Amino acid sequence: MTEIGVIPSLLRICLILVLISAACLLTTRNLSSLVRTYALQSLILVAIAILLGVIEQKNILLLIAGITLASKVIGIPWFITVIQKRIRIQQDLKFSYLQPGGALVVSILLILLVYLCFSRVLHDLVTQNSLFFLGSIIGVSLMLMGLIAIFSRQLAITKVIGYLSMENGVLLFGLFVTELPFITEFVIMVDLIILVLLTTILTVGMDSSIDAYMNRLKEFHLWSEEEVQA
Amino acid sequence: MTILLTMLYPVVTVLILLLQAVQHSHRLMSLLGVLHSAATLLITILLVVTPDTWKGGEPLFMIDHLNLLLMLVTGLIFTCASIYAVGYIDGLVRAGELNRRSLRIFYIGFSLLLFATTMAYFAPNVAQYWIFAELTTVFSALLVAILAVKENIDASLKYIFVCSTSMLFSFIGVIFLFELVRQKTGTGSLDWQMILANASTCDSGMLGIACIFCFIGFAAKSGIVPLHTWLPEAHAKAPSAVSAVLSGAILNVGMYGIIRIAGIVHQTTIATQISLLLIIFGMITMSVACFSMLKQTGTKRLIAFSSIENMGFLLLASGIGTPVALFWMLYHMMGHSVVKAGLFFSAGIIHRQYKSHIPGAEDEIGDLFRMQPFAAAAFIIGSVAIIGTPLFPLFLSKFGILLQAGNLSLYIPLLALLLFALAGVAMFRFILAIMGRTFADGEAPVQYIVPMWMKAPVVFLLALSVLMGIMMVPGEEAFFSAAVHDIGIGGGL
Repeated sequence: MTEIGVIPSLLRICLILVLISAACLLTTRNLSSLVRTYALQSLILVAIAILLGVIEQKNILLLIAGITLASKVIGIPWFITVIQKRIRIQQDLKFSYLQPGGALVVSILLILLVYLCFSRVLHDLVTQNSLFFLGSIIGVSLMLMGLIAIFSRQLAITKVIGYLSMENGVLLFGLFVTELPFITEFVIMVDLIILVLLTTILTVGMDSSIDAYMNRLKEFHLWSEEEVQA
Repeated sequence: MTILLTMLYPVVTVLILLLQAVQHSHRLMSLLGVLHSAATLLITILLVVTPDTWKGGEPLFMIDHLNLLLMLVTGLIFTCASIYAVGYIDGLVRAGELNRRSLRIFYIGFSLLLFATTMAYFAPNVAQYWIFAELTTVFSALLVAILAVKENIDASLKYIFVCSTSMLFSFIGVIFLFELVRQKTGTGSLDWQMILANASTCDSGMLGIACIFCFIGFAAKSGIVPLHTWLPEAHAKAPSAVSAVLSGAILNVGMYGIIRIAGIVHQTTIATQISLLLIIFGMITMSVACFSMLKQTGTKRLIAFSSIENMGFLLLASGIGTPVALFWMLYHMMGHSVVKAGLFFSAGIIHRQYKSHIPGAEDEIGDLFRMQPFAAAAFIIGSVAIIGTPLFPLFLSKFGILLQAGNLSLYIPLLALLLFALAGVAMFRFILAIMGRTFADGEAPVQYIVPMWMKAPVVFLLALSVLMGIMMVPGEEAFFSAAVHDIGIGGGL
């Protein structure tokens, strides 16, 4: 019994770690540590899914943990790292709209807002199971923090990581609020992978296409060499 | 019988994709694209004329009047666009704008987009609809980026980010809906029919939150303000055959989700609050779009903003929520798709003629009637149709919806009419401006010979829109009423 008693507090610790990783995603400038943070965040999600699976005695959660591990902890971060080497950008220094400090303040406000809204809507869940209530709040908060990352980051590749973090938030929310059919979770993962493939390939295209376009202009002698350089 | 017919959709898609993957001739690839869309249209028509066969439930496909109606438009628009693409894409390749190596990706993407749209409409549950709607974003973004120019890739990335992030909010809504049904029935379900049946007894506060979350993503897919920012970029930068599909078929995918959810909300006590929300956002969308239209100088951007305006009007109609309003809303969706595709096709011809050599610059249009009389006439007729002139279908639907809006408050039709007038002014100010310009001697570009492949769909769509405006096919009215009934609102007219 004591083991079961430990698990909820472990879950709480994991949830807090998720929030901390989201804060790191908002503030880190180095691209490779961004990807590592994302992989770590997904790993915490895997841990949460396994712990929940132990509490609720459901094998489906272990399956979800499995595909999350394969796709989000290993697959996608590896792919982004490969792409990142191709485009030779190490850092995303510029922020638009919000600087990291401001972004953190806004996220804290958003978490409070989500808490206030959900305590009114999900009142049954608050009284029944405070852990699940906390989980759903942190899920939505993580999603909103990912949204801030998309807004405030400028490079497409960091935006992709913001999007992925949002998706982690949705997964977290889904884990705590209800159990979706496994096939739904699986297809979403496939959708996510296609999306990441496409966006990252487009980011590479974005760098190479400018040259290709300029070359084509030179080919047709529309612009002289100097004008293209300028 | 129905199972056989519906299974034809995936079977045909797989066959076409396989053939396209091994095909080397460009012409054959594009003809395969036409074949795919035409086959989809044919299957849909067969389903429409045999209503007795699809009454029963099926595991993979849900078929009712509503999604068949939208599928019919989608099939039509895709068929026209693929015919148009035969000439248009060929022109792009000749001009060196489209790399030959991208051709296969283009045609496979086009077929996959058609398939994802089909599956989104026929999805029996919300989750399946969500996934396929998301895939339509992915595939259409691929088609927008196909020209591999920086602006296109920019537009495409913006499209993906705005739509996909908003769709994640929808997924939160989907999770809520699942939990609501689970509380009610014990086992969770995401079936449209199941949610609709249980909606009236669900906790209305939570259902309201769920629906608002759902609306966020579906609104982004259909270009509702403030999530419309991707739309003018993507529609203007995409090759015209793709723009027509985006505007005529893909925007409707988002609208379809909105109507379904509106139908579910309509069963509950919070229907009036959500209706108000829809009406407000509809009005805001129309206003922003109409005022933006006034300052547009590019042909395709102008038409793109007109799409936003029409989507706002559709949202307004779904907010009014009476059976008659929804009847005309569906009619408006059909009419808008047909007319808008025709407009994008003629704008595509104009763009091919006057395309500027400087990247990012606007087209320089001049001597329009002398150089491209066909495109000019088609563009003017299309503009007349899109602003809702009598004889064209949009007049009937605008009239019908505004009459219904008048029952709620007189200010809605008043404001809407004002905005329609603004849109009309914007369209015709633009047309007058481009007609007035002439080139000095020797400065005019070489005349672009329009292939028959590009002319035929324009003629067909414009003729069809006139036909829709002046007569109703026997049974059409009953079909639309049944579709309104499928949404879950009232018993038809």
